[in-house]
Amino acid sequence: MNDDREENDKEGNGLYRQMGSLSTIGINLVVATLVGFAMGYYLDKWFGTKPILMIIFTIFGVAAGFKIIFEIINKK
Amino acid sequence: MEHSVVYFLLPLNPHIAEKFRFVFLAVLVTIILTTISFLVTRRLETIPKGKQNVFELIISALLDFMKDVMGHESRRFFPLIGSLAFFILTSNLLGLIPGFDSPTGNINTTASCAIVVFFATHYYGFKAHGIKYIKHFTGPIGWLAPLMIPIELVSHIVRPVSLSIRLFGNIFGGHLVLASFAALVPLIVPLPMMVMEIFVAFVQTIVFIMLSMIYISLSVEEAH
Repeated sequence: MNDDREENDKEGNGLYRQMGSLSTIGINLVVATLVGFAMGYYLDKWFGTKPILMIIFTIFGVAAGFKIIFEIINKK
Repeated sequence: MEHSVVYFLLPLNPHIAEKFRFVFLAVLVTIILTTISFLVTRRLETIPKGKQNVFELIISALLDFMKDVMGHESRRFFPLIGSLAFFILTSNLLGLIPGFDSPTGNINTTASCAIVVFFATHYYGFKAHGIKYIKHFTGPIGWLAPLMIPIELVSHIVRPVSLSIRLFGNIFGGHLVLASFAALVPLIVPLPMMVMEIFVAFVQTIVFIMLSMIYISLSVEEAH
């Protein structure tokens, strides 16, 4: 196989990589919010503090979704 | 839906066969892949011909693709990513044969693939950085760490969830469309959808392995 190509793209920032990460933006924003909500919901069930952790972790989930998008866009 | 082929392959109680048919089909995929790889690698030659040629073409194309995404470390992760690619592609295509079902059309199969990727990501990250791997979670500014750790935790848990839901949703949805078309007009009409399904099977395999590669290389790289 052509090992000389390894010198050229050591960073591995090919077109495929950018396309792959860009195609995940939509689903990640939704799933991040849902995961945050689920974590808060079950932690609430565990500790018995009904709405507090749910609200906090939903906000964390939204923040995580936007952070994922920010990281993908900000990449060189 | 109709009776799966599993009923005829295994002398089982139909209720159990119906309940666990995805497991049996996943085992069937594994058996198919093991048999093929045994047959191909049994007699390797320097100048390949026949089936060895075909598989060398597939594997070198996959390795080139990995080099494009991951850079120079791609050969180290080839066993994991390559097995995932072959397993998922065979599973996706198995559902197009009448009487069979895709093992990836069940959330448990895709979730198990995604969980393997999740643990592999953190294993390789921890192996590459040692205890400094925690810097991937604390963010760039020190005093913001208590805020960043839950956010990073959520964003790491999102990865396997979105991986498994994407693959499962595409395959399951495709089969649902095929089943309803076949129920309406069984003759010619489902054919374009089946061609579309072959395309979806390849694209979803590529997306799955590409995201796995991106996640692994992100955790092996230095923290931003």
